[in-house]
Amino acid sequence: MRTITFDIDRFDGTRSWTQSYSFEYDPALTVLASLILLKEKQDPTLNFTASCRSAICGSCAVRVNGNAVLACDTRLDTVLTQWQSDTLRISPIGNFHVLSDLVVDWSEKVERLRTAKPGLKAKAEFNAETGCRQSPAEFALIQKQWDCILCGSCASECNKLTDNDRDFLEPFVFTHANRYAQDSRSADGLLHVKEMVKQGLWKCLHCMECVTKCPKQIAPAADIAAMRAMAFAAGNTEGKGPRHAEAFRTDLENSGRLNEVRLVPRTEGLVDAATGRMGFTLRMLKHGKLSTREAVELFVTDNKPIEGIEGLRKIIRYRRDAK
Amino acid sequence: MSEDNKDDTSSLSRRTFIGACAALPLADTLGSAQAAAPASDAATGGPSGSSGMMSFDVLIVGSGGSGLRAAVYAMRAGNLSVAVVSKTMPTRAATCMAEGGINGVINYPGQKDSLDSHAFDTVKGADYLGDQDAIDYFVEKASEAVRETDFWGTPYSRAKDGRVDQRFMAGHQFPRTNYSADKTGHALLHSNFDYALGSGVKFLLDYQLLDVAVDDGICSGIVMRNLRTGEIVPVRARAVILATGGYTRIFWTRTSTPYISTGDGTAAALRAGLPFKDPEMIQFHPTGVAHGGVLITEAARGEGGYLLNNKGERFMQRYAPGKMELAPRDITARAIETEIAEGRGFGEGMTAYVLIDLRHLGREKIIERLPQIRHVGLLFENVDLVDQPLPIRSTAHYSMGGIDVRDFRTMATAMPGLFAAGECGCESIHGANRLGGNSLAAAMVTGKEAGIGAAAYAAKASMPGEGALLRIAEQWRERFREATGRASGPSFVEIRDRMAQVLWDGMGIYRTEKGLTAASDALRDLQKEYHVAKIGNASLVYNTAFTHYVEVGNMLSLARCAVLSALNRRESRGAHTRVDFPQRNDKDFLHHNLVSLKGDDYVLDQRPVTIVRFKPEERTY
Amino acid sequence: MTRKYAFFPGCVLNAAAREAREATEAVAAHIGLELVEIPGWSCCGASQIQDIEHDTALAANARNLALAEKMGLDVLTACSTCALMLRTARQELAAGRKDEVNKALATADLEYKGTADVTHILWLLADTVAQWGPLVKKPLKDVKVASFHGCHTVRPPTVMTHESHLNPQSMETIITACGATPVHIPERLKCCGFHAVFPAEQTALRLTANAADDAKKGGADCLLTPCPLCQMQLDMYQPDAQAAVGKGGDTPVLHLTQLVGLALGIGREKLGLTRHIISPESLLAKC
Repeated sequence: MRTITFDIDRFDGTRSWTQSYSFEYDPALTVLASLILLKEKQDPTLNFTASCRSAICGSCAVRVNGNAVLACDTRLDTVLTQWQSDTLRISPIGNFHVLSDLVVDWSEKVERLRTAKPGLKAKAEFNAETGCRQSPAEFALIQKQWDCILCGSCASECNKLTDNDRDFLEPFVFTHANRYAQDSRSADGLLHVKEMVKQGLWKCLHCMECVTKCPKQIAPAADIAAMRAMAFAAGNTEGKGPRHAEAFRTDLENSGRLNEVRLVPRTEGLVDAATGRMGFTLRMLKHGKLSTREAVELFVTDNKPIEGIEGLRKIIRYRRDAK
Repeated sequence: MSEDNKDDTSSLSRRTFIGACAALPLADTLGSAQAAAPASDAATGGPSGSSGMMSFDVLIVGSGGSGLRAAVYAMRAGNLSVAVVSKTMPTRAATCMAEGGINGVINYPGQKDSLDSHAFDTVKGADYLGDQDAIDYFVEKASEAVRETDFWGTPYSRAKDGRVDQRFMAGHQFPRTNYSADKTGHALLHSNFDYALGSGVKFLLDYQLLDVAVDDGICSGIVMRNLRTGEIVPVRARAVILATGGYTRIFWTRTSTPYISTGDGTAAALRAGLPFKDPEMIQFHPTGVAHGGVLITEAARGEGGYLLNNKGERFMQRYAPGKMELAPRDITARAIETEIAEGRGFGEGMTAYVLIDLRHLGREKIIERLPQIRHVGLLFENVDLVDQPLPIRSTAHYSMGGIDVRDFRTMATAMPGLFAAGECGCESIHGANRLGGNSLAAAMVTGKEAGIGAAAYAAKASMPGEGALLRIAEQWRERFREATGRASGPSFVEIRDRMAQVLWDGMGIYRTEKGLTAASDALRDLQKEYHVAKIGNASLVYNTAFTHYVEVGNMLSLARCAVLSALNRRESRGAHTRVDFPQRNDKDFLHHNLVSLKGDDYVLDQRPVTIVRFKPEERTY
Repeated sequence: MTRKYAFFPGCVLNAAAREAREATEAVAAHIGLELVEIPGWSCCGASQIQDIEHDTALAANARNLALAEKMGLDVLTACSTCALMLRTARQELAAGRKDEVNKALATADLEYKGTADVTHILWLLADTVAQWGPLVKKPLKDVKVASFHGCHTVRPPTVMTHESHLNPQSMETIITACGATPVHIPERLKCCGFHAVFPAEQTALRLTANAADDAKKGGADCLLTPCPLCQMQLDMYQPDAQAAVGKGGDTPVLHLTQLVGLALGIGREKLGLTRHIISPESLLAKC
């Protein structure tokens, strides 16, 4: 008999511990079916949540060896193969407060969802009696974002949230904001974007955990990017995030490549950069990362343009005009 | 404020140095993402009265489609404190599983559809057990609901000219099912949740409904259990809306519905003295996976899948030679059960099955057109439909019956202050059989009407007394202590599974006097065992074992109502098939069954069906 | 082995992380890998341009790929973000944007066909251990190496398809081939913070300090990364991280090719090991 072991992270409101459970291998089991088996056959004190077991209600996200999955939608065989081990650690999803065992607190997340200003505020030309008009192409722009089932997987391993969740939001909140920001029926898509800028839109680290973990193949990082673009296009170019991105774009058009010496003052402002980065700059020079001559040259005269820079500029201008 | 906020705000305060202009004050309130007061003061209920008991003007139990919609409309009445109580995070409800769409006649230019036609199809689909005044009201409001939810943000699939696209569904004369790809329920549920969030609706998550309290014949609120702390909490409310969904989980191992569809509200209403209307009317879908009953949608047969018995025969030849696998749901479901009953299935008992075979469609078509069905096969049966046929059987799908609603315009019950919306209520629109696309429409319509109705009632009603609430809360505290303290006893999980077996055998797709009587006796015994069953978990913190124990108790009670009703309906109508009475009998049974609890006894009563203009005729397609 | 690639150094390898470029080129030459720099390559957008003007970045990368196609070679890069940006662009172009982007490229007499694959030196080295392993002259048998995969060689797995994103082994394979001992640290698949070092500076510094401290606690002699951005962040900002968070501060950080170079017996100057902010002396003493 092949035996599978689940080391489950448990919490009873005061005490935390890891408990080992063993059960007979069965290729027909999912992770959720395994948990139900343990609860009903071995330990009625084990707590977790589940509802539809069809990957559409979002109740049963847990972490297997530190990575979020929908328990109902994950075959036991899949994770056994992934980890090449018959022992798996099962934990509650990350970046949530744990209520008990694998059960997490959603109420505070519900309040954070409100910051996205959810709910359509439709254009004046539409009304509740006749509804709205939207082309199939416009619907396609928001369709993926609406697949979100609020399972929390995208937030579980988000590197930014793990470090500090007071100046950033769960990726699903950004996705919610973006589905209204991009909706052709919205009176003012920027309404949602502006809120998200206040809530840390530019602080995403691009760690790509949200994109990787979403069981519905949504890309919250792309939603963050789309709202950054909207904010930027609307003239909201202040702050280190947009200035940093703009510096890259400027360099691409000017010389084709990044000018690292100019990047910092462009992002932070000359005065800030000069005062705040003095130690850093001296360190670079001291260790020969950069020679003083190179640094001055780059700052004053920029990179030498790449071969074919005119072509690159033409391409960029064509793309921009096409918009 | 966190360190990072200091960084960024300070950098922005130095804008002047970097010569920035036209900066928007976007970063000024960084860090306000923390849980703030969810809503206006008016909408925030809280302690009141001498005892400090929690009170609301309108309290909604359940956070699926109808509950959320009720909450928005109760909020809109203005100046009322409104809260939604739920044993889960909102959006975990059965609403999210509905795929096909929401019915509503829009009558775009060039279409010939009409409200009358939708009403007729619904009446006929219901096998004439629906109340026609309620249905007339419903079809009109369903049409409005589609346009309104579009305005609220529901992402509907679109026709080329930008209007909401519509598809045909079985049993309808016109395409009037509005949809969002194959996830209409999910789209409606989440857009209603978003709209409720934006409207400032307050949510109380992780509270289990235990009972509805009645003071002087008036609903005075609910007693609930705080799952996080174990505390038994009485809540006063001028008006309570039950939106707790269906009870199809009585067939535990053979249903497509979520684990949480345990009929908690219906059972609480029953204990509070209200009748349970048409409880025997439960719709079966012909194809669910053999293990657990998750749906294999109609698309599998629509694309050309075969149904095979253990002889390898396409057995639909025997039952619907013209339509074969494309025969209506009820005929297909009965055919599958007949094959199993006559020994042409595989396995036995609850896990017996027949096969659905897609292999002849070819690998590419399966992967391209039916990826979700293939995925479900792999998940639950470890079968890849590309290489093997999949074990399937019929599965309980929808509860037509529910809490007896007396006014379909307000969703009021016979008890002042108590309202019911969605699948838990029965007004009755669906009668003996619900048409595809009418469940979401009913959730949207009845939720809205209940929200308006309850708010109007609450605005005039005085805050009810605390007596019954305190008494019931104390009873539950004692019940928790007693039940979780049992050191030995039968397993309530096994009781649940035996209940499912008893019901499947006796009150499944085929019903007989003998089978139903046996089921009735067995349920009585199971109820006795239930009261001494061991729970094995006495923790106060998120005790899901006790939560489920309460659910199993509710289901046993609802199952008894259903069996009693089914025994006494000696005819076949809609989803109710009596082998011993195969014909519909309008003379004796064109009435609703109403089961009430008197002490420990289940008592059956009847009420005639309301016929307006569609005279009962034979239901053929 | 002789294989020829269109080399896409990327901006950072070309400037602040020049040592990674020198090491990459030295290792390539040593193991018979021919790297031909793509003439006129441009910035990949670094996920920054993508976020404010998505289509500009897409067009620039279509141009980069088209230039490589003209060389008739697959693209190789030693930067994880460049690899992700180029591969993401390929995927997007294949998913229906090719024709419209080609109209833009036509203004510069270029055409994107989709024939050039994009690979990372990490994957190439891991897959060819059997060929270059025998060339290891100085097995680093006393060296313990904490691998810091970072994000963009494995995530998102729909684009970075080379190995398991949950449990990648390419770094460990290479470390072992160098004769060194891999040290498994909890931070190995975490973010270094580089892409938000300005807008979320405190977070970036804490992530940097965590990785450095994690390696130290695990008894590693250095952190090893396949990405010059991670290397830059973890090395150049480690003193700031130490000052801000109070941990880390003396963990040397090597680009993957520098470690391989050491094992192959290439001189430390040629590998740029003299220009690190955190001195690798303690590590080099064990080599």
